[in-house]
Amino acid sequence: MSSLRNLVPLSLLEELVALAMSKGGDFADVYLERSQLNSIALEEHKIRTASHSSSLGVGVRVMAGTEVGYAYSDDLEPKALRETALVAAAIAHTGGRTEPVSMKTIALPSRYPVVPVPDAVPPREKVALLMRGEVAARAHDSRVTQVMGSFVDLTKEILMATSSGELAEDAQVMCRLNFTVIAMDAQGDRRMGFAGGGGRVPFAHYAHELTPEAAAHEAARMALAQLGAHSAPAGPQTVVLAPGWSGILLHEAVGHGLEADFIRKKTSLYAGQLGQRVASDLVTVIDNATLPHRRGSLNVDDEAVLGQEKVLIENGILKGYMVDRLSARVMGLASTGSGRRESYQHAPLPRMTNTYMAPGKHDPKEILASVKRGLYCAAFGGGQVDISNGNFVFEVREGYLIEDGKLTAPVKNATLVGVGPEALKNVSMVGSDWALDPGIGTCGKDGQSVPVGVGMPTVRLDGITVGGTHVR
Amino acid sequence: MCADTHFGTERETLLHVAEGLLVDAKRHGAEAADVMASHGTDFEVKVADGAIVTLTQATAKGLGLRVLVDGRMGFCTTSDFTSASLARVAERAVALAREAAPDEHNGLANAAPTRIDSGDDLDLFDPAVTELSTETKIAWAHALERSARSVDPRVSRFRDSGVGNGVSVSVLVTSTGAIRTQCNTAISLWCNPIACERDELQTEVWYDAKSHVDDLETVEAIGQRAGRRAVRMLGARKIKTQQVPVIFEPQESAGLVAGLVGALDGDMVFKRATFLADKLHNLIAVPALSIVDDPHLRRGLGSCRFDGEGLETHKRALVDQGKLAGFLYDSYTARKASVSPTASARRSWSSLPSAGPFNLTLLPGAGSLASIIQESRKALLVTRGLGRGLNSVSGEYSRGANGLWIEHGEIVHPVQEVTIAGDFIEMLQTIDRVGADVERRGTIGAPSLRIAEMTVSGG
Repeated sequence: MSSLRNLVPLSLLEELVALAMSKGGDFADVYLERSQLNSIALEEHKIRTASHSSSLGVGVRVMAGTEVGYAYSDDLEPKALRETALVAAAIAHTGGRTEPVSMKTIALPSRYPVVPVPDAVPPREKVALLMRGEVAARAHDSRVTQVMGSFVDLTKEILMATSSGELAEDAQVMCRLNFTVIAMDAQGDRRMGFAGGGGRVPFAHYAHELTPEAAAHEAARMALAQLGAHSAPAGPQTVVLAPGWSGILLHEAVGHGLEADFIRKKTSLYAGQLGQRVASDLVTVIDNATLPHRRGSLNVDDEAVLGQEKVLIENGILKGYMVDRLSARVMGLASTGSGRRESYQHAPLPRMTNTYMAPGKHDPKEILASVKRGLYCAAFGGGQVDISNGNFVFEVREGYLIEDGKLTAPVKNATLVGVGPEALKNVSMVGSDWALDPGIGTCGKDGQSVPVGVGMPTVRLDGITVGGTHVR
Repeated sequence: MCADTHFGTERETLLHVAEGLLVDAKRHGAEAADVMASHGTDFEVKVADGAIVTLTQATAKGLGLRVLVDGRMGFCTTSDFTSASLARVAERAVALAREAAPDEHNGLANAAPTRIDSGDDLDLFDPAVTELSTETKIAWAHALERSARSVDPRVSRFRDSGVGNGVSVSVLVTSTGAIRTQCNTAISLWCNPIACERDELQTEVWYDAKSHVDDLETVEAIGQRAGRRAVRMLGARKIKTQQVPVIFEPQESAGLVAGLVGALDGDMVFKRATFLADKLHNLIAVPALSIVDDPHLRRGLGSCRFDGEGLETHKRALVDQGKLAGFLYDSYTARKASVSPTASARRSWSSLPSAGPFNLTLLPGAGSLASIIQESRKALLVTRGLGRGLNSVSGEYSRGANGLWIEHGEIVHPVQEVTIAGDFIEMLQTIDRVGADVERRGTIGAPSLRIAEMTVSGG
């Protein structure tokens, strides 16, 4: 397939940027995106569907003060692109400049080189992975009643040109293998288990790092472990979070509140808190786009700024925000390479990449042993936050009672609910066993979904409200 | 109106592209195929603090081709309608089908080989939506914010307020000769203010979404309601863990309806992956509860004469006086489960058909939300849920909630940082009040409800 630069020649990109600035404005960019999405789904012992989606389009953005004009086109004819640039330009009224912008390619790091790209891997090999996982899950236990699997991969190329003369081109692939298992016991109790993962990884990832057998066994184990689960105890209690995917709690409880658009508009409760204590001194939180091959990693963000590592909270003190170009200009800060978008049909917003809590000093066994009565959260489902009052909520997908420092009965239907800063001030122990999630996170904001990573050591949280049905 | 406009021309263009693709698919070896293609306009303006946040305008298109080869199914989509791209779509869809397993239940639906143009007959296309100027929409967005500010000086910050509208033209063409088209409009207004007092920030959203401009709540009413809802949350606190009656505002009842209907997907029923799998014709709720799916609702945002596979749709009860009356099937899941298809396939150009509802209504009972509050000695009124809620496999419900605490028939104080939880069927069977105040903002209409007892977890 020809490179993006052949689809829209440099001279046309330069012209489009100039047209975008022709009515005035402080900044403009043109974002060209081509993606190839493959999806294979298995259910009831066989491959149900195999599908492919291709998309190609251009988004043009113009900033005038804090106002943004945005237009996009799935038609790459020069005439359609010129019209698109002029529609976006209409946001500005100050009278523009007409001199052409000459572009200079910015050098990018290579954090996720993948050869061959997943779109070039024959579908048959992806089918084989799913079939192997299905066999493994069924063989795991006779109480397994349903196995559903999917392999989804994305091969995305982007090319950006800005009014400050930056030209950046990146290839961002993504793979994800997933299994869902339903188990049923003799009493008719039905429980679900989920496992899988991936990232900006080559297909060979599934030969070693995450085999389909391992993922399918884990999904089956999770479903079976919850059969006969007890009602969750309701009310405030001590909670221990498992390492890895529990980082989703950080993502919701503090991450969103540190995105610069909410800070700039003072709609986040963290606005004006820089340098203040916002968490227990055991808590250090980092957003890091530079990790190799991770789901949230970026060589470059979606507005031609290099992906970076930034410390958000250090030993409980708020150190920084996630900043996109617009907030950077308005707030007098530097962009942290946090401008991301779902596709060419969307204007960028400040977003997280891979967000995690740094490891602490406690032995994870010691953390568990310290709890007389409480709840252990082994796996979470979805979560949501209200960034203004800091309220967050999480579905506990796999949880156990802790009694006298030991895990006992599984619990069902538990939800964690809290207020971000309060919850982080109640972190009383942080484990030395840091882990990242297996590559499963997707974050939604203003209707845009982007892939993210999270991470966490084992953590003890005191006095968090558990929503359940069992009133003690 | 559609036929007389620019969108009428777009419709014929889409039909031409879709029919060409079916010929290509056959040439590459497909036994049967169908194409869904759409063309639409997209407009959204968001404002905050008197300035535009983003103004987005575009037209977009796309198509999806489903093919059947030796009982195997392949699917391919593209937004690139150049002939080179379209030539690859048919070839790739057929190649992908050969990777899937044969399945005797695969196939197109038995749609009549006729042409049905839907839209005008159900009054789904409002020329006024297409005629709104950008200036008007920007002015409305600013007016939403001003109206919210006008109710209280503590409404002083905004996440955003906005107006979005669109026109969409869709066609479905099958290799068995069915031609289906639909034109419709949609418009939505929302206001998301933040009430501030000392260090406390409370955000709320109020909105409306309709197919016709005339059916919208006024700009002033939406803004004012958003502002009042944010202000009344100031001072919110936890309540202690307890079992109490829980009242749902109409839009929160609509969330319960969405959860319930999500568990009626025939595919999940067949896989016994829903808690309702064994409950057909059983009493799952109080007799006062009835839920109807009406694809022919005039001006409905979910209305359509035909489903995503071309079958003619009809109005049906899903819950009839507390009894589970039916599941939702597309043609594949109906064949698999050996039941009659219910013409419930939903589909966009970018997706394969799957079963879902059109316009749902939880039928009204008696009385207003105010009267239900007045009759409650102690209750939590839920005004906004946080998180997902229903586990449709097990039937357990647990959700974060913001709301208002009721004592002796009066609102006492706002509540946050609590969850409400229970067994979903038990919840439906202990509904003790269904209001007459059905509100429809989007595709689900529902009144206020009260559940006799749920577990509220807090302090």
